[in-house]
Amino acid sequence: MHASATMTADARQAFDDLLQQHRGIVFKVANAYARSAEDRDDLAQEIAVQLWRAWPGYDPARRFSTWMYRVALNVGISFLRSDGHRRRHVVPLDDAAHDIADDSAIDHETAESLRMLQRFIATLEPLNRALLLLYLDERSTREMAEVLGISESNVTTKISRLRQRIRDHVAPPGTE
Amino acid sequence: MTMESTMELDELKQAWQSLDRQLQQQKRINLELLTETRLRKAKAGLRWLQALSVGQILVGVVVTVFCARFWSSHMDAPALLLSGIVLHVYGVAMIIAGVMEMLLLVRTDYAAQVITIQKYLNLLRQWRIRTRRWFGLAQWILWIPVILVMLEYWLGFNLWTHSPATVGGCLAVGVTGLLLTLWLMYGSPRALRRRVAGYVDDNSTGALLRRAQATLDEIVRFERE
Repeated sequence: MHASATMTADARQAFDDLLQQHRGIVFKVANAYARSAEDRDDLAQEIAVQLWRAWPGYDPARRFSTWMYRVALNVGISFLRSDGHRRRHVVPLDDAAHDIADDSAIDHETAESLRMLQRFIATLEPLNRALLLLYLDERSTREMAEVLGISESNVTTKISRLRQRIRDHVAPPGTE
Repeated sequence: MTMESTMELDELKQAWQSLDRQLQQQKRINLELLTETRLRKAKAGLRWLQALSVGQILVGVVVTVFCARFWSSHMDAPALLLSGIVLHVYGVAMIIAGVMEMLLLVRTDYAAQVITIQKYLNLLRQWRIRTRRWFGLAQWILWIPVILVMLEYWLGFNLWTHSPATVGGCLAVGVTGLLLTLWLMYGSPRALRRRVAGYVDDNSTGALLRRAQATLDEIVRFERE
């Protein structure tokens, strides 16, 4: 926080540019870890604040998206686990999913898939949720391992389990 | 079935990417503006919490120094010596707790790997819950050495030598209160415990601790599997 307060105008501009460029990460994590619109805004802001605080320690030799995912997921998981926010999660899941997918720019089929995906994400534990986000964002196994802090083989195992869970979740009752 | 499943997964990825595009296009999103406001609030909140932690450390140092000088000059009076040592230990505990709070506030590096930082946060959370509980319970007994030390320091009056029964009575009240609290927390019937929990701050109950342990177990499982 102290370092960021003394950040030069150039460094600040560089941060703003990168943040704008990768802001989708912030909102996707916020969508995955908060349900109501109010909580999502709250979490997006909290992620942006923590990115700003961590920015002086960012090593430009490393991928910005990896660094950003670490911060965003850590904040998202902590947000989900904090008791205060848990108590505030009273918005029905369908409403939350509807809110996200409800946009004229998205066709009906995609909106339905998004609702289904949102429902599935809500059933996952915080760490598996993080893994799914990275998977959906088509991150490499190495990057997923680097963000989460587990081995690449562990990532592969978990992804295959997640794929099975998605299949079970998507499959209509009674289908094999 | 494999083909269908793969397609479904692909559809989900495509849907996710369309959400990404949608989010990118949303005009109402202005991270910079949001961040500025939030950052100001966060800075103010953090300063306040840091001030509280620094205050706790300073009080701990004062208590430690005062008590060390007190008990070392009352080696011939066992009750005062013991009271001084007990408060000295309490002062050191206050310093340690204050330093840990500071660490939690300023040294949490969210850019670290998710598993590492989540473990760290959870361990600190467990530590914080335990500390608060023990600090709370200690109050049942601590007021007695405080009275003994203050009476001696300000009035030169050694309560123990003048009225050991009074000190014994105080001790009986403190120990009874402590045992009753411990019974209510751990040994009482579940219905009563639940009712009591309604009146007691959530942080002092074992439920938070159990939840924190469950989270830690979940992290370890995720790391291993």
